[in-house]
Amino acid sequence: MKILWLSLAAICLALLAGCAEQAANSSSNTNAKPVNRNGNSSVPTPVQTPTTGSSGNVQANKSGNQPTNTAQPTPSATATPVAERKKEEGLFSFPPPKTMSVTEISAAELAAVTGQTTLAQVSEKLAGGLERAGYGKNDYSYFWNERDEFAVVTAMERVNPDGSAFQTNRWVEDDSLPSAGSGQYLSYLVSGKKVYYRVFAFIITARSERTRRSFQRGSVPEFNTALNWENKGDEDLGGGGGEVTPVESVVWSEKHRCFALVYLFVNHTSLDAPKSVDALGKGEIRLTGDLNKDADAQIKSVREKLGG
Amino acid sequence: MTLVDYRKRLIFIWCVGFGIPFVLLFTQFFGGKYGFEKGLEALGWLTSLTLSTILLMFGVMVSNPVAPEDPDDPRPDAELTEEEKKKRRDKAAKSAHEKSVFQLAAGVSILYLLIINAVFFLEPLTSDRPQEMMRYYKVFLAACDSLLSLLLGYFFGKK
Repeated sequence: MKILWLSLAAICLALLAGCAEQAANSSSNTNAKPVNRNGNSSVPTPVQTPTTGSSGNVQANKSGNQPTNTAQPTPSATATPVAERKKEEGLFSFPPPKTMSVTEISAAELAAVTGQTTLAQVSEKLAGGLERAGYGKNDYSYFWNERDEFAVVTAMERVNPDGSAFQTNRWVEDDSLPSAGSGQYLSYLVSGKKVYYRVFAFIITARSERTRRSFQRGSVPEFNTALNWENKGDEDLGGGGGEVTPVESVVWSEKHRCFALVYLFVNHTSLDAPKSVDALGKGEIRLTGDLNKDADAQIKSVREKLGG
Repeated sequence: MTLVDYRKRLIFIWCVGFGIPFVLLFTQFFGGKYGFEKGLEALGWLTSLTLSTILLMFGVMVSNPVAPEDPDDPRPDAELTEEEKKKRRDKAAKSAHEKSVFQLAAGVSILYLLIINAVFFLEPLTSDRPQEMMRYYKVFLAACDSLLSLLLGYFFGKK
C-alpha cells in the first residue's frame, strides 16, 4: 500500500511542477510581438528603394524550373510582397528572414576587393573561401534580388554548440533525431536528444537600408524552408548559361557591404519539429543554453579563409 | 503455493515493471527531456497501460481476501479413506493447474512490462521520437492486453 500512496504523491508532484512550467510559458507568450495578417512582426519592414537601370530580379533554380520574374521595381514598390512571394516559393527572400546572429565582413577580409572588382568576382572569392572551409560545390547556392544585391546560402549542416561542424553525418536531409553513440546513451536517456543545425547566408548588398538591425526584424525561417534553400538556389551567380547577367557585371563600390547571417536551428525530443533558436519560447530557451549564438564565433572557420 | 502467494508475486512483478519506467520518467521530466505537454503524454501512456491493472490487483487483494486453505493432511496415503485420497489428488491437480496458469500469467506480464520498459530504454538508440515509439509499441501491447486480462482474472477474480 505504501508503494501505491508514494506513486500517487509522485504523480501529483509531477503535475504541479508541470503546471508551473506551463504558467511560465503562457506568460512569455503574452509578451510576444504583435503580428500582422501576413504573419510578420508589426515592426515596419524597410522600404525597398528601386535602383536605376535595374533589369528586374529573375531567379532560376537548381531543379531546372523556369526562372521567376519576381519583381518589376517601381518607385512605390515595397519589399514585403516580393519577400512574401519568395517565402511561399521556398526561395531565400530579400529582405532576408530574421536572424539575431549577424556580422559584417569588411572588404579587406574579402581580399583584394577593389573598385574594379565585379560582383561575379566577389562571388567567386566567397565560393573559394567556402570551399576552403569544407563546403563543396554542391553545398552552397546563389540567390539574387536586383543587380545590386545577392546572397550565397550554404546547405543545412549539423553543428556542435561551439559552432564546429560535425565530422560525420554533417549534412542534413530531414528532421530526424540522431541515435545514441558511445557515451551518449545516458545523456540521451535523461535529457533527450538534441542537435543544432546551421545555415550561413552571405549577403552582398549596396542598399543603405540593409543594416545589422534590419536583419533582426521580420519573421524567422521555417526549418524545412531553410533546408530547401540549397536546392532552390542557383549553382552560379546570374544563373550561368554563358551570358553575363546584370548582377554579375556590377562593379563593387564603396556602398557595397558583405553581411554574414547565421540561421541556427535546434531539434530536441521535446519539440515536434526543429525550430529556429530565435523563435523559441521562454520554456524552450533552455535548449540553447550551451549554444554559442555569436555570429563571429559561428563563422570563425569560414571567415579566416575568405581572404585566402 | 497458495492463491495469495500467486497474487503477491504478480503484484510484485507489476510494481517493479511499472516502478522502473515511472522513476525514469520522473528523472527525464526533471532532466527536461519531454517538456510539459510531452511529459504528460508519456506519463499518460505509461499509467494507462499499467496503473489501472496494478490498482485493480490491490483493490481485489483488499476487498476480496482469500480464506486460508486447509493445511495438508500429514498422514500417508495408506491411512486415508478413498474420499480423502480423491480430495488429495484433486488438490494436487488443482495446485499444478494453478502453478501452470501462474507461470503463463507471470510470463506474459513480464513480456508486457518488458515491452513498456523497452520503449523508454531503447529510444535513445533509435532515431525515433519517444511518442512515435509509444504509438508503434502500443500495437504489440494491445495484443498482450486481452490475454493478460484473462490470465490475471484467473487469480484476481476468484473468491
